[in-house]
Amino acid sequence: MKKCLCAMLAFVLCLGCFACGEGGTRGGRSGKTLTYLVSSTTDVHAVKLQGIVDKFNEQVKDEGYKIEIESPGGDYYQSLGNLFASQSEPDIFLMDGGNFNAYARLGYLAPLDGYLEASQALGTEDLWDINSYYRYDRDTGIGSGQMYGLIKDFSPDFMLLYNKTMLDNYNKKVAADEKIVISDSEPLTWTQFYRYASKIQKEMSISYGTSIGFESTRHLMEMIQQSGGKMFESDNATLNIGNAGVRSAFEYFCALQCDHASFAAYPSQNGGKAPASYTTGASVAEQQAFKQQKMFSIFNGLWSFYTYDFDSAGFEVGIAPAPIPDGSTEPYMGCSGMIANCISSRSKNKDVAFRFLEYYMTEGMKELAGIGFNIPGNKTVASSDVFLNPANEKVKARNNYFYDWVQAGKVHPIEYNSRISFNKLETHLNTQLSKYVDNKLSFDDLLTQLQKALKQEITGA
Amino acid sequence: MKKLGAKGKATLNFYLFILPWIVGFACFTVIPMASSLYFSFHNMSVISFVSVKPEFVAFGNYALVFRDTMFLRSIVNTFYYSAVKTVVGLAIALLVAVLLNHRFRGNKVARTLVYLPAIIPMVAGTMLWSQLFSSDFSLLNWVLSWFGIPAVDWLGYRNAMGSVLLMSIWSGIGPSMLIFLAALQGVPQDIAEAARLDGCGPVRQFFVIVLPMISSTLLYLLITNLIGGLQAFAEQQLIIGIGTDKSLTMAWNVVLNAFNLDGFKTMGYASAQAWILFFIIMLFTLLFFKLSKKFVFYAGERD
Repeated sequence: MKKCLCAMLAFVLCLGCFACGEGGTRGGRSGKTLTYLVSSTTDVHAVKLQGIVDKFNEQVKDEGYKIEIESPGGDYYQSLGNLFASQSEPDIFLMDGGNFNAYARLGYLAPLDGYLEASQALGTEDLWDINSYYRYDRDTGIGSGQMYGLIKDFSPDFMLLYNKTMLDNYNKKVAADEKIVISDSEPLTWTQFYRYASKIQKEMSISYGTSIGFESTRHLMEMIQQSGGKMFESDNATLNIGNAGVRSAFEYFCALQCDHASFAAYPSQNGGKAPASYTTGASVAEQQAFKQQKMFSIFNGLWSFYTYDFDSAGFEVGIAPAPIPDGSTEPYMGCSGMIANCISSRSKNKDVAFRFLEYYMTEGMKELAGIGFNIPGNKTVASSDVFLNPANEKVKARNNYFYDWVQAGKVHPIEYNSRISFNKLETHLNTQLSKYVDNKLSFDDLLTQLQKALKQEITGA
Repeated sequence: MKKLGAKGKATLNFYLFILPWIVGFACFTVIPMASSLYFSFHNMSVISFVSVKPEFVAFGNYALVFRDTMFLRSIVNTFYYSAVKTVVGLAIALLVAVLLNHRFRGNKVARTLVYLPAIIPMVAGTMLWSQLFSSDFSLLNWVLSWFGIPAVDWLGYRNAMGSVLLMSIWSGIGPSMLIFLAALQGVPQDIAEAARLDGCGPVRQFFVIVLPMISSTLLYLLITNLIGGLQAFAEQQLIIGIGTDKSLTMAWNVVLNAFNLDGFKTMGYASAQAWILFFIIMLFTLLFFKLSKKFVFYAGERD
């Protein structure tokens, strides 16, 4: 009896192991249920998305098709990688700029040009120029070739959001020649912003003049792009520290965060305290600190107003373009989000998957635009009253403000190096920067050590 | 078919009864290890091997590991973390166990309170400690300020690993204390009585009688804590976030590389790192078992 039980148990165990997995269209298998993998199914935006999916499902019900939303929990891109590795990838999924190159290079993404040409509702003319980031060609890389992703929404992510009420109070306290003016059309220069943030921090006795806490590495990459330099030399392995623009970006980045930083362009305004020395382990997220008026300014995108409810902050939030290098005149804003929807090249229902994306990017996007989360990835919808003329006056002003900057061509994608993953870049930068902040490295050594570490990481030499 | 003899039948029965374990071991240990070994000799990412034939690089990944200063540094970090966590943690647990081994009012409540940190889920615990370690709203720094001690950057470059150790030791004391307590209660009282009658003080009694009697338990806890420490990753990542060369551990480094999609330090490279980690842990385990013959007393051992 016991022997039989053991043998049965072993058989069931084997069966269970090999029978694991799902049917449907996962991993290119046939079936009429498509999987749409998203990062979260619980926030308000996700609830709205479920509504859009339900409406599309209603349309294709008679054909027997159905879209199901799933969320992996944990790290989205790690989970997505595991699903591809186990050949049970979803039909439709999200993609960001940092991971796009790998998936496109391996041919996991279905090209969308043919669908866009044939579509009556959605064409390339409905897409923003920034969507070209999701083009890929085997020889030339990102930015050219076939289209593989449709940006669902985006925003310049490092716009200067500041406490206008605090600024007004500061201006009342100081002499006329000390007053600060922040224009919503002309960007401050880096030195101006550094000076202003430090002065307000000191004069208003607050903890921080600003914060570089949100996506600090991508923010540094934006600064480098603003300076006109490239982060890496032409070999894509050597950190370009010989370039004056790159160097000045690092100086600005360090001056903002490090109390002991000493640069001619950024003399201390606050007794040696940096405006953004908000580094490790703060228990209060910078957005909360901003709302609690412990911080004068932060760098975020349009989405942050919706996500953190800045309208209930109790003070007026001013928005200005991201500060630019001294000597520049052209505003330049980086976009680090711009998540796109992609279709798996192994999906057996690519046509239906595109029909869903077409619906999502048109009718669906009108609904999403109404909640004022971010700039819709469909330019036609973004240019319509749904986004530019909502009932709420504050939302309307903001939407138009961000829209105008994008329309003017001042918003640019963050550029990644395909020879090193973003996580590794961030780890090496954090290592050297931490040593610099801890006074273990000089600024020149920071750059040299970082260059050496990155070169070793990329080339193995 | 030849009928099995008694011995054959006994063998067959044996394998039949352990068949479920064999299947589980094969599916969840042997096959993944064999796959990992295969990956370690190839250049491939977690998503590439289903579509692109992995490039065979022989021992290239292993050679690369020994040139990777970040990984070599992470070995040092891991041993530091593991050694301090094991030694300090076990010392405190043993001390607490000795104290709680005495009868006093509230003894049971005290044991429960000491064990409580162990039942707090790790994520909840890291959130709690993040508050304590925060650079600007830190409870710990507020307490330090009472004594005139300046604020500490708990998660800064210098202190991050130490802070994680504090958290790990705090959560690890309970289970070790419980096991020590059980071992202490197994020490024959007549030997301790005899030693006391001979004029042996409590401290000498502890080192000469109690410690040798619980040495097998100590060895078990030493090995399990050390191995656990050498595999440390989750606590560091949750508290520190982005690692540096002073806080990255070997396992964290492996995970960081395993999910890389770009470059060549990807799944194959991470597999090579994982095998090196395996051999390092195996070496230490064997060393401990070798040393155990000299220093450990087993009550049932024949002379």
